[in-house]
Amino acid sequence: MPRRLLQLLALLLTWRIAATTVLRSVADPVTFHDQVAPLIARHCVSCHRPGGAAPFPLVSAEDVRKRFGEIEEVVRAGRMPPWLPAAQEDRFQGERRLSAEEVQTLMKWREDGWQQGKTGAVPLPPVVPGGWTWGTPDLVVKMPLPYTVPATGRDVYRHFVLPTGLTREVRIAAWEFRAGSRTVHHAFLKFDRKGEARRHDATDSEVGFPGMDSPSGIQPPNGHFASWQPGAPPTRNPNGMAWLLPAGADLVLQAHLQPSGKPEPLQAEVALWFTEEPQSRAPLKLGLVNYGFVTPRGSTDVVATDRFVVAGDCDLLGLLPHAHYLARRIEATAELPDGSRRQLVRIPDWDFNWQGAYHYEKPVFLPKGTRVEMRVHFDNSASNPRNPFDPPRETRFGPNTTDEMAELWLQVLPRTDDSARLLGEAILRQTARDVVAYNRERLRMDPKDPVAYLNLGKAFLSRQQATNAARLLVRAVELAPDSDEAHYQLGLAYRILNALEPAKREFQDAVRLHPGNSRAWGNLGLVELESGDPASATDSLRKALEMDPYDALAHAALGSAFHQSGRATEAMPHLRKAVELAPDDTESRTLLKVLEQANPPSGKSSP
Amino acid sequence: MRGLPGGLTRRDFLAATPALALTACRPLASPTGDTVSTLPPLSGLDGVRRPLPLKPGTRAVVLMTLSVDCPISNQLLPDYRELARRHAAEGVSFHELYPNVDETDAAVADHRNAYGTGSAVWRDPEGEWTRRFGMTVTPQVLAVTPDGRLIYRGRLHDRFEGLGVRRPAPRRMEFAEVLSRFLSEGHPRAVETKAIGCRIRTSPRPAAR
Repeated sequence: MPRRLLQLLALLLTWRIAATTVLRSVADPVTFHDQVAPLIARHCVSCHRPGGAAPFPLVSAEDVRKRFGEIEEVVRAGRMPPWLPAAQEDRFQGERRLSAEEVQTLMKWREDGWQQGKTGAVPLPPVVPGGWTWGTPDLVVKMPLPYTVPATGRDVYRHFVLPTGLTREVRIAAWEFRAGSRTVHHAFLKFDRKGEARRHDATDSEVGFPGMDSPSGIQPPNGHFASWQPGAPPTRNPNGMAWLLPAGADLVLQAHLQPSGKPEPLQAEVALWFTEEPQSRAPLKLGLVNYGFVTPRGSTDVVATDRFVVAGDCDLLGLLPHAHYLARRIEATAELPDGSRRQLVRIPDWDFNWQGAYHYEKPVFLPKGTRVEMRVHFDNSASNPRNPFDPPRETRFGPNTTDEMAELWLQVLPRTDDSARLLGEAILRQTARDVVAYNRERLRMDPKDPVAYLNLGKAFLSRQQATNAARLLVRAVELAPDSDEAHYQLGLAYRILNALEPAKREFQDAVRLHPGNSRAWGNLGLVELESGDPASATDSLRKALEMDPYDALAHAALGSAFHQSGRATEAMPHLRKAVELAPDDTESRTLLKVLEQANPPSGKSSP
Repeated sequence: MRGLPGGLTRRDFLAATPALALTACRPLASPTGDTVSTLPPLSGLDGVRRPLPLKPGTRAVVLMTLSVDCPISNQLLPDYRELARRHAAEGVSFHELYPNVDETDAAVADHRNAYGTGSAVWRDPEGEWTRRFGMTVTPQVLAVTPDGRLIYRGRLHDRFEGLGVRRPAPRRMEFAEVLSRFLSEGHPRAVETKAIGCRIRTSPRPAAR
């Protein structure tokens, strides 16, 4: 057979097979069993299952059929599944987006008359996970008492303290959040090793304490977002990136709660899986923020931007955009040193209620010199359905939900130690800039805001500008004389200025106002030591270490105080601990060496 | 000027306040001349069908549709009950109506155990009321005068702008505004707004005879 004829026959055969497939796919009815159930299992059932986060299940054909009107509306509008980023080249983990073909399949199921599928076939029961995802956790912590979410009203932003009872530090390989209530719309996991959260919690009789901003001292794990939203899979940290949970630390849950129409008890729990593997890779978090934007009433596209020049080679692991109700679009791009541009994220229809963190399937390499840009578009017109004001009001940056924000947080992993150092320095500079901008904006809103003076004072202290810092902190103390933190920071400024007596007074005020302020006890001890009073210093430093056994400086100072009091045996364990916690503390290392030579252990002297 | 269902006149429609969106200037699907007393009976939770009771002096009859598992009607239920409490002494008769055909009496009873009890509760599984008054979703508020004239049909307030589009708080308490105006003016203006919620699931429409 001539070769051309063979080719023609092959072509005809291929065409026939393709045509048959197309015809069959159009003609064959869509059934729940074969097409719809797998689609629902893939995109919906993580929340829409009995006992799940969604208000109703979608596990049977009848469940889906009777809700089809609502399903059609929300999937066509792209509002369900709740996934904000648009499709892009660099994909995110756990993307929950229905393709156009999948939407079409759903619509065809209706057109084809809601067919169940094979006769006698069991409707596909989508896989419903039971228990904790990774088996028995090493520790489960729970809110000690339930909080009652009110039946109605505005959304609630609240912190809850979950004591861990840990007597040793642990590294967290994975964690899973179980809300136990459909009122939790999103949550962040933080920790507190200084008792700040307990202190705030104790200010009234209700469980937890309010706020969209966490008080200082309550921090997310270093370099991690620790964010949760309904339907999101639990978080397992990449290898070598376990985060440290210190002994005695409390977990703090910062939750966004939506009233459901009836009072709902909330007693959430968090499961933790430990690892013995040390942290070999330390991710960093850097923020692009804009505090200076103004959205005039009626404006439809005010853009808040910020940029960051990447100071060292790193991999971008994930990002977390944040804005409130007036934001309509959020975009982030990277301009690489070779001039090429890469879209990092584009959210075409921002929805505050579905905010969350996004982690890339494959890290995005950002070479040194890459310029990352954030753009947040605001629509402050009446046509923005989420605008909280009617008529619209001029809106600026602020901490309340009816204020606005424009933030993008990046989680990056430096490629080398040198990159880590350069990135760390750049982040510090950026943070100092942001702290000043943020608190100047707070003072613009309220010229008598003691927290703004306090934060500005701290920012100047971090820049070693103690005179400017003291001026601002004196104002903070005047405006908030009961703030132990303001007294503590002013004490620090005086100590740097070598004004030891005023410094001592401020630290004494701080511990009088808050006897649990370990840093104030530590610094009081240091000033007492510097003032030639090692006996008092010993008492103060012991108190500091009772509250925070990880305070390297307090160990070093206590070692020195014992040494000055002629108590070398008591000095040495503290100096050893200081060196262990801060290996670059050469002063403690030298003193320890001297003391060890002068006081050899009895066991060593006799071979 | 007759000719519009529900005892409505064209003037009623035209007089509706322009501040509220008239989503459709079309007649309501209520038959001409019906009064609340002559409307079909509704089912109580005991399964017994009875006409909606009307106390002497009633100036308005208000219903809100509910579903046992619609998050929107659940979230708005306390606001509706608060409104009922505020107007209880003003001759306004408030009712809660479960229209879905697939919700059993037991499911409705469970729902009320969970969400508490408020106004009188009814079921309309045959869809006689919802079809008659063109009610399509839960929650949807219907307010009529005892002689069957429309005061309001639509959403309680504008906290929800679409399925999945939720404001931090309502901007307009639309039904409360209309009701207050009706109580002060004494005549209905037939205001209609678009209700946002879960589709009502009724039994198939009876075949035409």
